[in-house]
Amino acid sequence: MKTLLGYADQISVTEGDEISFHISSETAEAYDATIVRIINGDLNPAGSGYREEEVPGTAWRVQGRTQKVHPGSCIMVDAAVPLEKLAAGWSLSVLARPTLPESSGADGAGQVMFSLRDPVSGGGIEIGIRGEDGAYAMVQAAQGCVVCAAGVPMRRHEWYRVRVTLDPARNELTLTQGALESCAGIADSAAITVACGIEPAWTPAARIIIAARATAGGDRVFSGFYNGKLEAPCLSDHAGAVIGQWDFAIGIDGQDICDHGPFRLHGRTWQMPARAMTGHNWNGTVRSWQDAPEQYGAIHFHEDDLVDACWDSDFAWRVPPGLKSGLYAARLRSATDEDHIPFVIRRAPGTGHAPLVFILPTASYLAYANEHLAIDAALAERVHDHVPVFGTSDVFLAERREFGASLYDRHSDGSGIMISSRLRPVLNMRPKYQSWLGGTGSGLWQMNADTHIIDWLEHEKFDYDIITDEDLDREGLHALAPYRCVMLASHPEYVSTRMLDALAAHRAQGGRLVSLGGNALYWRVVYHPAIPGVMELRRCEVGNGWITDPGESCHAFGGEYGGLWERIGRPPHKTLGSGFIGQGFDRCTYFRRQPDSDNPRVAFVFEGMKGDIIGDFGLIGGGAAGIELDRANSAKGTPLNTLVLARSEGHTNTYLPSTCALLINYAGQGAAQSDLVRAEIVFFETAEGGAVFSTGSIAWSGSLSHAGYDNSVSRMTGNVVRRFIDPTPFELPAAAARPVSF
Amino acid sequence: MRPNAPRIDPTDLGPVREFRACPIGLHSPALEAVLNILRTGTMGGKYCIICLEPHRKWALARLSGIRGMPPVPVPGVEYDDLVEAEWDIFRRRWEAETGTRLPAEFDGPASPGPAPRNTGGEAR
Repeated sequence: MKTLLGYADQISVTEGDEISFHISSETAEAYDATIVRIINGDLNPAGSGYREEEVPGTAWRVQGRTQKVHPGSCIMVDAAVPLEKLAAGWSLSVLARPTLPESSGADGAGQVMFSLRDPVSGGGIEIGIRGEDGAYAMVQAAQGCVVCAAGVPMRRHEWYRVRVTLDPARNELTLTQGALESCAGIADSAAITVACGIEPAWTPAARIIIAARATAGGDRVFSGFYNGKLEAPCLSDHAGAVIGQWDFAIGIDGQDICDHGPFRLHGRTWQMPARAMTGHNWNGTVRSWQDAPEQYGAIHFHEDDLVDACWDSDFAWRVPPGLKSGLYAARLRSATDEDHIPFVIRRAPGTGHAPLVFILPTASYLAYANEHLAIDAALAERVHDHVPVFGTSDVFLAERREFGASLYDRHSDGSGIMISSRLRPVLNMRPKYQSWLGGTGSGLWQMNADTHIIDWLEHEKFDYDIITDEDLDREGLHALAPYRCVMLASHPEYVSTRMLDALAAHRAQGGRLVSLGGNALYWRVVYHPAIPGVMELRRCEVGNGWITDPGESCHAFGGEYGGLWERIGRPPHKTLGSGFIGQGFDRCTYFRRQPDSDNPRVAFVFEGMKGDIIGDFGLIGGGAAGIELDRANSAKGTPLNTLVLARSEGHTNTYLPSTCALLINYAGQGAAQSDLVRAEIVFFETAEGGAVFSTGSIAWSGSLSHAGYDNSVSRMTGNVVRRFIDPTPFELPAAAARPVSF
Repeated sequence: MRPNAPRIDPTDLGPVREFRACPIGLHSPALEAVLNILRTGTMGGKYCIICLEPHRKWALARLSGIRGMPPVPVPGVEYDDLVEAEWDIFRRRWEAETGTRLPAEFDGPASPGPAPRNTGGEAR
């Protein structure tokens, strides 16, 4: 039973920083809190054992309390509305493209497109959608209400212009619902007038909320969330003079909402609805909202948008001097539950640095945060050839959808989730977590798989520091410059432009790069420029779980075109020597040495190693080669001096080519029948005296601790890291080898 | 069932024996075909496994197929071995699909055979 939930305000801190922890105790019971350093998060009894170390002086007893999550996005207009201007009547128009038109909202009272109501009494006006009724308008007076509904449902994904007029002189409330494009045989436009002899019972406390309604539950607690796009809401007085005219095409990359009207009724978005969305007038000639913002005047709202849980802080901790850089967590223990809230402690500035830096891929952790793939979609058994296993956290999230989902999941209206955040409990970004994605055995994925790398670094007594993707995105080369060697984790799939630029700049100064995973540097993401821990993905051209709608492939955060780095012109092959080729999630296998491994340039890699087989053991699927695999391909950017040291084999037909590697479907592409999907361990020297080593397999980290860390995977990794932290420059070969491609 | 959907031949027990011996790993084309049939269907009611104690104890459950409704445990069905859980679900699905009960030879534990290895431990 999951009863302790929480998140930290930061993911990366250093000496002197204060980090606060925002906790909900579902049972309101007290809990013990302790800061621990996470060394190995794997509970598998066949492994080297779970290990965490308590930080002395960090034991607290905290009285728990329950904190709620309120998902759902809208626009809040905090300025007071000149209600006196509306006394003689008003009209409201808005363009709407509903995505759940059959729904009457979570409480059955309607999906609200526009409301101007008193938060306590509810007095005021509201325009929305109620399933079969289509659009409705409601005037709420003190003693009752009048509702005018179109009486015909809207079609999903179609644009409508909804216009409502209240004429007190005639005692009439009129609503028109007009489809911008009609559909033969479907009557979905209507004009209805009803008698309305009452007046809205609003007070000066009444506020405009777009896409939801205010509640008495608090300033930031809304109801009646709308699902779909809205565009160009406009409120006028009885004579047609504008009271408020909101233009969503202005400030697309921010949270501010501009009002062109005379009363400056500017607003702000709440829980980040999707901006940079095509409007009713998008004509297909532009692909970027920056080229024609007037065609991107829509915002897509969702009842389950969540960026910030906005919980109050329960305790805070100032990082003392002298702590080793590493992965830490606030460990919470109550009578009924335990939780770990992770964060990284970086080495303090001015205290030197290690030769090696391990980048914890927190962007990729966010991409997978609270994923519901095996709960929502039928793919799970097909991609890993066994029945999915759900842990306590998975079952909890299956019921408690308010904690949001991942960038692989869809909103309740079927649209893809494009924004993820760590300002909420992320239950699969935890030590001890087992994931259905992690193959057989330990079931390790992302953060918990990466603890095996930390565990190995500790065992091998390497001097290393840890930073996060957020540090790299924010600081660029500055975050890497002190380090001779950069180490990438098991699955750093999602990276920003600034992160890639930083890796390139590090290489340009002779830096070395060790990649201990698979499917790395694959998708472009963009961090929010002002709100740390919030990240956007426009999953375009090829999908995974979902795909962007036409014209919506540029991020709202800054405007960059999204999708695969390979399609943006910076394939991972250029940085790592290999790139994603395919995946499967059943059994992992092993690597076999290839002729290039005898090249004297890589003799150091194989020191002390015997035999041709590498990694036919491991906690992730039983081998070092598996889950997601990368291959060299000079046609996609693998440098011509790359050596393919080893190649995986023995995969099952569950392993299939990735969509980017597959231009057309045909039979026989399973890895048992085709040689295409293989992992390759590659090495190349760079022109600046550095070098790159990539294992091309997510499962690699699960093999490091096998047989007391005395094994081929550990030895090979150690050989590489020791040479890569050695300042002696690498020399380029006299002549490049032949291209490696297929 | 779609009119042209492939069906499982309940008299062909070869794929069943193969699955019993090695539920996860390289499969014959015949077993792959059986598994693809057994794994079709809507999400509602699909079997899944809930972990009760990590690496020690699991329970059988069914997906609800409804957003916001968690998997529903099948009362009284727990496992202390994930491979046995995999077999139990395979058996339930196979028998439901074919309308045929598997013969007595499948009632006991899996016959002890050599554990499938990738390389036979050629190197460490």
